[in-house]
Amino acid sequence: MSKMQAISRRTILRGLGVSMALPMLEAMRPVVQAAGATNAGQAAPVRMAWVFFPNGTNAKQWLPEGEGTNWAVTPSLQPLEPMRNDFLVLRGLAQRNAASLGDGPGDHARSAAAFLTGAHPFKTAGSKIKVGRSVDQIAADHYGRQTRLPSIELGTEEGRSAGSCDSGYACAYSNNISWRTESQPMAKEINPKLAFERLFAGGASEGKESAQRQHLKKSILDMVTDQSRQLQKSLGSDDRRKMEEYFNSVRDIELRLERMSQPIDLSGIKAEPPSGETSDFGEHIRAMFDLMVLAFQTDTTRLATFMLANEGSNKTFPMIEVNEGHHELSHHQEKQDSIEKIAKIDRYYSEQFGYFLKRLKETPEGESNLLDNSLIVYGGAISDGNRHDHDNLPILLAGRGGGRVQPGRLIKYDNLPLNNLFLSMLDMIDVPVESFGDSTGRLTGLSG
Amino acid sequence: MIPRLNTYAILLGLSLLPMATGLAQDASQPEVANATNAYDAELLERWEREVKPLLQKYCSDCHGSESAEADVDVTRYTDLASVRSQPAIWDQIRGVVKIGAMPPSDSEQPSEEERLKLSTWVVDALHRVDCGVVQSPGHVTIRRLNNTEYDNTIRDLFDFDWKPSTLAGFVSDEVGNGFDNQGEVLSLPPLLLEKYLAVAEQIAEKAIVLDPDSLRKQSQDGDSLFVGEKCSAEFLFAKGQYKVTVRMRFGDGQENSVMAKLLIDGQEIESWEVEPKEKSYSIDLEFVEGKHRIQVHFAEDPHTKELGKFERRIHVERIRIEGPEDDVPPLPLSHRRVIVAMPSDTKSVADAARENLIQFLRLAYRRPAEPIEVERLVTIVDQASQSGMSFLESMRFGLQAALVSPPFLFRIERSDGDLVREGVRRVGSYEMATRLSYFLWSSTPDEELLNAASTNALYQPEAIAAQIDRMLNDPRSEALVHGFFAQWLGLRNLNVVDVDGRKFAPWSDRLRESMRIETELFCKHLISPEGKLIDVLDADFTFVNPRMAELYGLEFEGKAAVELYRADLGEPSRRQAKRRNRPYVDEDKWIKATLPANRRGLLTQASILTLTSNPSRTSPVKRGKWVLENILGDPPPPAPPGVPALEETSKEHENVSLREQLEIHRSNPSCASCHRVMDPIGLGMENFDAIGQWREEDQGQPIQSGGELADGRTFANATELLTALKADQPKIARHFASKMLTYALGRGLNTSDQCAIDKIVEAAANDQYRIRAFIQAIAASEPFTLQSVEPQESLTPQIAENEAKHE
Repeated sequence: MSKMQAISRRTILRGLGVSMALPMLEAMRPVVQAAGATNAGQAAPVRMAWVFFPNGTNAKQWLPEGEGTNWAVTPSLQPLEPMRNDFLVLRGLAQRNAASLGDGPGDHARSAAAFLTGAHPFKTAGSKIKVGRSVDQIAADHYGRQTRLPSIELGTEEGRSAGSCDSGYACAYSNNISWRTESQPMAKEINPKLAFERLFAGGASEGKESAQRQHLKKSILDMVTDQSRQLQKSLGSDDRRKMEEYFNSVRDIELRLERMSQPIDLSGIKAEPPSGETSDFGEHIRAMFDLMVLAFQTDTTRLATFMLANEGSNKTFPMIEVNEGHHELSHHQEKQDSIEKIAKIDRYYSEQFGYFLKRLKETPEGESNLLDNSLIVYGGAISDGNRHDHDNLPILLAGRGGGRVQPGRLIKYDNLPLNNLFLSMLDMIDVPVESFGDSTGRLTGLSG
Repeated sequence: MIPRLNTYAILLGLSLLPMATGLAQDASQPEVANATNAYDAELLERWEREVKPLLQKYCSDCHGSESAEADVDVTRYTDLASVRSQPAIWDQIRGVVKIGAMPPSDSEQPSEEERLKLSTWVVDALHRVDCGVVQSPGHVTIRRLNNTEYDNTIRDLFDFDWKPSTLAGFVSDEVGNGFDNQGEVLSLPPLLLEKYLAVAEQIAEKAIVLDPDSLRKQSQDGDSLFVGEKCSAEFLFAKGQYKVTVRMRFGDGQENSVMAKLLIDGQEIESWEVEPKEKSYSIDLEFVEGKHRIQVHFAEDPHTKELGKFERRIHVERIRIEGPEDDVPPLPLSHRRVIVAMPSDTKSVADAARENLIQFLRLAYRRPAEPIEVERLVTIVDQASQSGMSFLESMRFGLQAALVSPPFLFRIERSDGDLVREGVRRVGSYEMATRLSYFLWSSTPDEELLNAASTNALYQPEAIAAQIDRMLNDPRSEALVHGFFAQWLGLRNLNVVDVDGRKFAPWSDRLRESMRIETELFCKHLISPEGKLIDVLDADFTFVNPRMAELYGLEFEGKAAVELYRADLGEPSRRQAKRRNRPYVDEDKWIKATLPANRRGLLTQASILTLTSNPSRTSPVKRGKWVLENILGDPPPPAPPGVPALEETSKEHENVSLREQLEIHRSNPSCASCHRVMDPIGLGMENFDAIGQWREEDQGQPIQSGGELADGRTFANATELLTALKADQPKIARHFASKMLTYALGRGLNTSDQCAIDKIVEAAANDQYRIRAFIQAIAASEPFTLQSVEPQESLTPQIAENEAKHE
């Protein structure tokens, strides 16, 4: 391999650090104070994360049976057994906008696209991509402005780079669950090291930029803002939409620069920058979970989405002796061997998710812990990968949301929209939204 | 221009009316010029008289409002507009009916004539526009540079040899219409802009050298080398004496030492004995002015038994140069490109900055910058300078700003081309230079293109044609292989293909890499002056290195496979060694080789055969589908959910061959409809296993690769199959032209582009379907040379809001 890169990866990362300045935090102070959002004595903010897994499940081994506190952990959720009192099993929720509704095949693309947007994606291989704003971005608008980053988007797999991803749907649909606008996905960071650098910019050691350089950087952003505004005026509608994306991105960064003008001190917190790329999938996932914990802990952001893999992912899992691709297996056609392997993969993902919950729970915050102050959704918008159905979805809701949710139970709903859950979640952080996708109201019973 | 009059227009006695302006571009809202009304009227008449009754008779039982199987309900379509609003569905209907895949064989079958009636009508309704009427050339949405284009642009602007997209982890580009360069799909999320900002800062620091003396010592990171491998570094030298130093060590926990060679520009200069302890190895050398490549080569390891082990690598920490002895180090091209003026007693900072920026922005913006664009940047440089920074440091900020500004990051085509008719203008001269360079090079136009643009030469077809030939002969045209061909063929997916290495012993990442290189070299041949489309099906040659030669059972330069291994490598360790190391004498040597009679063209290359297989076995279905989709342009519909699987069949019939299993599978009418089209093609390739090796039998069963295509043509083996497909060349050419036009334009095609495709295919056909003829015809086509002016709408609420915020 050519090593002709006259500039090393390290240098670039250093560059990222410098240019993005550093978030402020005094680690020993209660975290919530650092962002200046709340005063001492006030309740900690509710953090929210949506953790997505692709290709549906082996439902028989995944979906628990029972009611209330009387339910049994299933084989696929076995790794979560020690945490069973920390999450709700929500049964009977559906994301109908992931269904075909006359658009033919393409359930994978649709289900990722609809999962958090609650909207039915417009079928296109390229032009006029359109789905809807996702729940995390709606929350970010109202809520995330108080933190240095409104939200973070993480993943493990790059977008597919050849062909359309699923039966005539542009790859943007399968590769993203977070949508900033109805036509603009929030790209996700898949490299843990880069994600860390982006969040924490190398810690305090890199030193803060001189005010002078900060000021010049601001001038650059002002300059390009002027330029894009001038351009917008002379462009037609589609072109203008592209310029608008640019314009919005510049504004986001301006805001971020303002919020991140003070250095962060991570010395009191256990935080090591993860190593670059890892070939171990579990390590990769856990590195991302670590980052989410750290981001929540330092109140760098309160909102996160994480795609454990892209929808339709055909990853193999040699570490658990599954050498066939996940997607390929999910079309198991009731073949026993494949179904078993799906369950193994489901269990593998649960295990990783369990790690996340455990880390959150072990992170104290005030009198309680980070998990208790969070609401974490775990699931996807396909129930059974073989049938591509979008009802009776596998959905867990972990955490107490600062006392707003009473976990440890199984709640059965009668085929209600998943979007009702999102409305309830938005309520809990005082984000007033009337309706979302095909929502019919709020979910009852979450608080016990 | 003079529109081509087709017989249709003449028969109908139409006059050529000027086209209405500002028409919608997407297929869902087809253009309706006045003159096409008669055309549509005729279509509608055929719909009522011929098509609707056919649909009623043969289709509506299963695809009606009662049971819309596969979500297709033919009764929903009542007129032309409703059909045109669902082009994908109707193309599929046309495809399955035409090839006989529908109705299922257990239903009443239409006659051949009826099938033809329906499929012709759909083509006429969706894809035939009246080419006698002036057609819209379409509008290309402004395009962000994709990651490859960004990398190449930086490389060519600054003469840098690194990939910012990889180093900074740019977000992977979204793919639309099969390619990653589509304007509408490429978005710019905040995350990416952040990375652009960071990278721009790095580029500015590297490009502008504050103190030439700092270049006296330069170094680059090395790499860890297995035996046979080299690592290299390139530096710019002045004339004079330099000290070249390599810091390295041998192995991990080794006791002995090995020899490493130092090469300058490929010439062996020195040998060093590399010890286990890290040390610096130096030599003083005279250099002539210019760039020189320094390489360290781990040529031989005498300890053959442990050949190629991880512990026996040479770790090159750094390659360093120091010099020149009695002179100043030369400034890199990047510096000279950006800095042409310095402030002086008679020249203010602003004036010097202006001078620099005017000439640099012409390169960065791919056109002369407007005064206001220059002044904005001058202000930034001035600000920096006033805050106490040196001029060069201040220029870095100007450069950084230029590299994150819209005219650099986006390809924006404004209105500098003349209006050729209402709502349509010529692509401007500089815009043409940019279109050509990103089409053929995925990079920024060079000085020659910009000069041609400045004299308006790029309005002349001959001048464009000459530029294209020049550009295709330039090494930068390899971008067309990685950009267009790799995506057309799905070759990029080879990187993520999983193969069961226990079942296929030769499989390794090195084999994967070799497969990819083979196909890339073949595509490079395709864009050479000799390359023809038909080569895809019938070339009797390919390109191999020793590894590929062995896989194909070919001799390599007259040597049998066994002779290709390093002489010192014993038989037992060979199999083991093959996986991860370098058992061949010269793995990186590629030669053109004649294929044995059982392989022809691209379709029998291991890359394609592997990426259309499952990890542990071949997939005739995938292979057939791949050919239909990528070569013939007739994608079969996706499998309906819940159909019984091939695996089901195989469980019941454990001892039958894959071919027989597929036959059983096809006995189900709902499967048969599509599989009778896909399977024979894939089964025809069954003599190639899941990594493309030739085989005579599969699981003890002899392979029969003969078969019959859906239209009745028969073949006895893969080569005969390929020969049969050659008869489809016009169709293949049409599909190829559509794909390449999509790539060249960076947008999806519209109905109105069909006339342009007609012309492109015609031009290529007149030139033996040479690939270069396609490229030339595409660059000369209306969609490439003209641009519809997009209607300007009033401000969207979002923009209005943004405007308000800023004022």
